[in-house]
Parts: sequence; C-alpha cells; structure tokens
Amino acid sequence: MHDSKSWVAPEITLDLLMEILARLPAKSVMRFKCISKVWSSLFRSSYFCNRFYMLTSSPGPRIYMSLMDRVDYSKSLLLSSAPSTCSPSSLVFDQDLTIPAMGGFYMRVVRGFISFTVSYKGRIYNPSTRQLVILPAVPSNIIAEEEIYNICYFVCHDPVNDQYKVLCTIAVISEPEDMQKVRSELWVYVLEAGGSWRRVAKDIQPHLPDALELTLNGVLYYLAWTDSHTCMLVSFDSRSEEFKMLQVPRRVGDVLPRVDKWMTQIEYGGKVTVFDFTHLKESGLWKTGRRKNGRARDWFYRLVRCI
Amino acid sequence: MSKKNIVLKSSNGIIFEVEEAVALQSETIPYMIEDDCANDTIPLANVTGDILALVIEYCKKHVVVADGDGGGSSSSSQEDLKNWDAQFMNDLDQSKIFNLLLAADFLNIKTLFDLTCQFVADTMIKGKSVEEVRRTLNIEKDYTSEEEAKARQENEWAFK
Repeated sequence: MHDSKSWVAPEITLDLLMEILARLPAKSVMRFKCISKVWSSLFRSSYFCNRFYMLTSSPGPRIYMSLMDRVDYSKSLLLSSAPSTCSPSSLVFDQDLTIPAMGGFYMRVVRGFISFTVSYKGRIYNPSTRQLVILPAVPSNIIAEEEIYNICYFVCHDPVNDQYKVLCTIAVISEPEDMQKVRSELWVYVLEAGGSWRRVAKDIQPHLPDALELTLNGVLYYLAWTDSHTCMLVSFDSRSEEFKMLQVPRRVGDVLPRVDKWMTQIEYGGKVTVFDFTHLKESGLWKTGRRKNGRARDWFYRLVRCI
Repeated sequence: MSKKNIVLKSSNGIIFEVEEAVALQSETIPYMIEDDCANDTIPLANVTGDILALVIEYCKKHVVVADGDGGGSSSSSQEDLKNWDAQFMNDLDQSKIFNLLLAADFLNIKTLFDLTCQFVADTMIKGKSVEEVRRTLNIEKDYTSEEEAKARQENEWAFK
C-alpha cells in the first residue's frame, strides 16, 4: 500500500496523540481539522483545549489593540502583536492577524478568548481559531422598555466545572447626575451547546456597573453604583453563581459623586483591592498608591478583609 | 562513598547499569524499585535496548547539569543543554524518535517526553500537508470528499 520509503508511525493512544497535537501552533491545528472527523472532534474536546492552552500560554503574552470606528464598525480593526515579540518596547504588529470589522471599546481577555461588545451585543472571539461567536440578545424587560440602557458582558471561567459563563448586567438610571432611580437586571449565559440566558439574583440591590472587571480564583469582581454617592464592590462566584455586595468606604470629606470619581478594582498582593485614582492627576501615581499613605492603605486592607 | 547503581534490563535482555540519580529521572522506576527488591535487576518490558541506551544517554546528560549548578554560569549550561537536546534529536530517525517518545511516556521522564512530543509535532506534523500527516500517522480518512472540502473551506486562512 505505502511507499516503502515513507515511514509509518506505530499506533498510539489518543492521550499520547493529544499530547503531541497540543504542541502544534494554532494554525496547524486549524488546518488539520480536516485530517479526519476523529481529529476534528479531538480538537474540540475541552481536554485538548485545556492542554493546548496550558502548553501555549507560557511563552510571552501577546498584546491586542482594537482600533474602533464608532460610526462605522466595519472600519474597525483588531491588531495583534507578533507571536515572537518579546520586548514590549519594540512592538511589531502582525499583519497576518489584523482582523477587520472587530470593533469593541473594552476588550476583556479570559483564558485566550477576547470578549467585547458591539451595538449592545456581546461577542466572543477566539484569536487562535479565528472563530467569532455573537451571543444571542438578552430577553430583558429593560431592553424591551428602554431605548438607552447600560449593558456589560463579563466573561469568567468556572475552573471546577470547566465552564465559561457570561454575566450580563443591564441597567438604567434616571439622571446621570443624581441617579435617583436605578433599575438593573442580571443575566447569566453558560457557553455551551444549547445555552440560553437565565435571569439571576432578582433580589439584588439595583446597581449601575462600571465597565471593567477583575477575575480572581474563579470569582468575578466589578464596581457598581447604587446611587450617585454609593459605590459597591460586587462579586460573582462563577461556580455557585452567588453574588455578594460590599460598600466601598469613603474617606472623610470625600463627597464627589459617581461622575467625578475614578475608581477600579485591581489585584494587589493576591487580593482584590479598590483603587481610587480620582486625584491621580494632581497628586501623582506613587503618592496615591504607595504605603506612605497609611490611611488609604488601612482602608484598602480593611475592605479586602471583609470579602 | 560509592554511589548506588541501578541495573535496568531492556525487553531484549540487554543490561544497563546506571547511577541511581540517572535512573531516578524516571518517575516510573522508583515504583518498580519499591515493588521489587532494590538490588535486583529492573526489567523494562516495553523498551528495547537501543532505545533504552538513548534514554540513558539523555538522562546522563541531564543529571550532570542538574547537579552542576554550583560550577559555571547556569544560564549558559541551560543554553548548552538546549543545543545538546536539539542535536540529540536531530541525529535520530523517525522510528527511533517515536519509540523514544513511547519510552519517555512509559518511564515518565517529563523533560524527555516534552522534548520528543514537541519534536514530533514540529518535524513530522506541523509543516506537512494533510495527506502527508494521514500517511505518516496511518490515519483513515473518514470524511467524504464534500465534508473534507467543507472543513477546508471553514478554515481556509490556516492553509495560506
């Protein structure tokens, strides 16, 4: 049958085959999907995806940059640094990985996926396979009733069940300045075949989330406002889907409303820390963030301990 | 103080005597020592003599470097080791490489397993055509021609 010169490998177990294939570059994996149905389904298995992710995620992070045209999304671009770029001081953007019509203002990265929002719809992009998934519309009452609303999609990974979940927050506020009335809904979508939106935590205090989140040990954190002066740190456990809310304390004399505050959550010393950089411009980065500022530090730690 | 030696026996009866530190890079051998009497020969029914010789050559090279942290710059020895690994693999034919991979898996030598898996991926699969990979790995094509054409079309960028 075979050419006598061409060597044929002995039969190996699927485990071993996956170990070899997980060491291929993503492009080869995509090409070899058409080797056989068995290979194609191997590549789709979560075992393979996790091995592939573990083996490839170590050498140097990639930088992605979204250039967005807010009027015409089809002019938007996603740029990626070349895989071999090691020094961030000399970035080379990979022409081959320039993807047209991506859009998205905030890009979030979860285990190799990029999630972003275009025209109120959540999108998840896999830069390795170049597959784009557009999430179905959320069957929300607020969306049905309001023309203008705030919508955020947060993606997290539940490491125990190896599931990806999207948390969608939808909120409307009466006035940006006073926020007398806040309405919000929370929805969860498990990324799997036949997935659908589920309304969760109907009893939670209505809140307006900030658009950036942080995920630590399978728990997603974001800051949200229940009124113009009350900021909460909200946590969402990706496994149990339990929410917790914790009011962010203010320093004495700080009476700035939401629209004038600049805050975010960061990981600091392995813990979630609220970072208030409202006065960063006047006081400089180090003065605000450094330990000398004992008061701020105590404040952060006290908050962290409560979580 | 004399170093303790371990005696390994390949599937075709060839005996190798190696220092304990060399043999213990395998995570399988310690279990075999526990199971058998430590002084006895350890039979490796899945590994032939020529492959076992290669495994031992690799382990000897790597045990020296693991010990030699004190002398010389460790980064240059890491570099040397990488070059040595590359040369070591390049000198082998495909059949030996594959059998070495199976031996590294059986003996559970993590670095050799990584090295051989990566080498097989890079040299026998990565740059090859679909047909070549099917032939080398003896894979039956279970797609119809239409299905295959569709699968190609879906990932057209990967063929460029």
